[in-house]
Amino acid sequence: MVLYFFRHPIAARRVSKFLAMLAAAMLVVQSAAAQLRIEITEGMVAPTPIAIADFTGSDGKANDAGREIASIISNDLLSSGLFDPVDSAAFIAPPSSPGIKPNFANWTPLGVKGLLVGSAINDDEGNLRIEFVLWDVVTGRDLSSGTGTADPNSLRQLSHKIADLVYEEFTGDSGYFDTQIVYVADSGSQARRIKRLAIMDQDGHNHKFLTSGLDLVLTPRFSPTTQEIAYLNYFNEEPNVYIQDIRTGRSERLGSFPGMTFAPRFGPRGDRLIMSWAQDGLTDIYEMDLRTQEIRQLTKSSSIDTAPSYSPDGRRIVFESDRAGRQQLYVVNNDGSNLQRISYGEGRYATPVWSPRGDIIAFTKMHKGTFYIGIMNVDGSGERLLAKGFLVEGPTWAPNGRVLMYYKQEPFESDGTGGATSLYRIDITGFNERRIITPSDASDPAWSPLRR
Amino acid sequence: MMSRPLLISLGMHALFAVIAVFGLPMLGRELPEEMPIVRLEIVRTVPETNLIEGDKPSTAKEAQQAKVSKKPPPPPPPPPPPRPESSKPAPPPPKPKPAASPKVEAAEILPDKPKPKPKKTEVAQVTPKPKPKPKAESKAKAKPSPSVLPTPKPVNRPDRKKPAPTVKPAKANDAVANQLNKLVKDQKKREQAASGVLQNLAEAQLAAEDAEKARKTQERKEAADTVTKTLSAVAGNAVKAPPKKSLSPVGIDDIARIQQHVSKCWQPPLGAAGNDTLKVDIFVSVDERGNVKRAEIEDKLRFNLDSYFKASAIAAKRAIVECSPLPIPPEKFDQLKEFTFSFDPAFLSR
Repeated sequence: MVLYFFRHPIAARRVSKFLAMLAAAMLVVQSAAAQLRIEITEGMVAPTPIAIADFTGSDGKANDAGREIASIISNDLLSSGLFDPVDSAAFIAPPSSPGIKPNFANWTPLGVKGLLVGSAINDDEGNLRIEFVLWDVVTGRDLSSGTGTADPNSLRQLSHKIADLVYEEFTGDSGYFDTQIVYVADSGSQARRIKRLAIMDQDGHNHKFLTSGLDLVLTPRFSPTTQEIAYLNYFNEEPNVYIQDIRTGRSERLGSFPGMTFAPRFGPRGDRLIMSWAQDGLTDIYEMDLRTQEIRQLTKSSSIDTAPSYSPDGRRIVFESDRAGRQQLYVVNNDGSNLQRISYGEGRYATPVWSPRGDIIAFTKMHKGTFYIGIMNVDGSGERLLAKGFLVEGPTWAPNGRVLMYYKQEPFESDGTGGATSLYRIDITGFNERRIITPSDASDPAWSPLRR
Repeated sequence: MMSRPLLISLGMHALFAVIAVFGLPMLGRELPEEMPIVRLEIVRTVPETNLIEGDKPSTAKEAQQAKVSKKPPPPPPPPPPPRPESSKPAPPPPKPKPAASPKVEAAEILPDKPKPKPKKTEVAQVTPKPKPKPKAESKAKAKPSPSVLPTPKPVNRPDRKKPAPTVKPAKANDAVANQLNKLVKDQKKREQAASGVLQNLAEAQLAAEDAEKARKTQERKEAADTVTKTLSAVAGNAVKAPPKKSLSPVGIDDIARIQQHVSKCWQPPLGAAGNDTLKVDIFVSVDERGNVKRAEIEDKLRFNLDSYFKASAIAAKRAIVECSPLPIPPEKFDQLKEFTFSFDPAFLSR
């Protein structure tokens, strides 16, 4: 504000009076015309307290199922690090049925923001029918409701789906609980490792092996649209890309290439596959149309170009290359044009994976003998390292682009023991790192899309 | 002899027919597992209205009240207390009427508590003190007292100095009595002198002048008293009673207080991290006690289209509802009864 000073006292008084009137008038006008605006720029960052009530059943069996559903949902939400499910022992009056509006006075003292109430009934065919309502305890309104049917073997999947719904209502992100993880299960001695493909739910349940262990397998990747996995299989000492249908267990080699193919990854619509093909001492990136089996070369250099990954719209590809001397990350259009280097930090960068949300790229970084899992913006800016270790590698995205999974190897001891590998996951905020329990050593995880 | 080729032919035909009907056997190929039954149908609720009904911010509380249908009367009691306080000054002055007006107000809401209060005040005031005062005053001021005085005096004395007045007025009365005596004496002197000659005129004049002076000083004193009393009464009322609404400007500290208050309740979804466009504007209107009457998400279109925005908006609205009542200074209610909250989750990305 500019202030003017007047020597003449009367003039000054008049002017100041005028200014005061003007200010008052402006204030009135402002309050009348432009709404007063109060910016809230700080908030609390804490897991959302939520109550997941046991689904009430018509009989003992249904009651058991209802309790299991609630426990699966609670575990899912807790594992995300974004929710704090309140112990059901603290409930003042557990709700009886989703059809009745709960008495919120019993829930507000627990500090919960949400309340999930459900029922479960066994129908004549032995399937479980459930009904549920998700309440906003603070505003006293229902956020969403639903019904579902599941056969006894699909109870977990149904529960994961409900957990996804709760997650979505409170975070705005789509959930990732109804997903699977395929990984390489390691067993046997260090000298004679057996590597088998295995698959499990994201919470470690429903574990089963997909391959026998006769061939060495690496880098499994989920198709975004079909129940198929692309992976690298050493058959007769020759590494090649194979595709397996996880429902039938049948696998077959993809095309027949002289030399070796590796580092496969599906396109966002599942109709294309991108991979490295090494022949005559050159390793470049190729794209294959899975319907026509047509091959297209995307990069052409004397260096090793590998680990390609599509952007979610399929128009660009990020990959690693040592064309500048050391491994660095590059982005190129899917017609091979507009090549750009994006990583300029110290150390080497490898295994880039484009986030399903499209905004960031996860990678493995090696610097001064330490491995890191990090993320950066698509243009290479805003690098953040989330996890580090003796060996951390192979990041894979949850379908909502909010959580990363990778594997970690413990250092070897002097007597040759150690070196155990296991799967971890971490929020892209860098918090909530959790180990995934697997029956044996585990590496090379790949996260499935949301199941339908 | 003929039958053998015929049999072979028939056999082959039959085999082809079987293959045609059932297809080639799929040996060595596992049949796909049966697809599991998992169906989930979801109804997403879109709030029909953004209104928060009534004073109570959440329907949760309404539900509670509805169930305990007999208890609603108790909740109202909290509101009245402020009123009785503010109206306390009022009952005493109109001593003849006081019972009527405050009781009516209170009777509707507070059957028990308010009644005793007015009674007490009545009892206390009906006792000797008030009566002497008016009499003394009326006598003293009969001629001189300005018409302004009477109203403020009764207002102040009862609620401010109940014990004190008994002493002070006594002294004042004495003074007045003395003066009166003087006047009476003067008059007597004048009467006596009237029979005398002009010499007495001077005396009489002096006496009259004295009387005049006395009256004037008395007047001034009283005027000064009343001024100070009314001033202090105003000041007292200003402290006690809700200040009258004026256009006192909304300061940064007022805004900061509201910001701080709401920040404590706001838990933005972490999904909003890294997204610069998830600012949520919510139009809010509050009542005089700061209770949020209405909280309306402004961008309804985006609310229905963008799940991130929806979750952010719901979290922001939850914060407002949870933090109701807002710390709004009563004297600034006029400027702060309606405004827009703008929730910016940028801090999550810091």
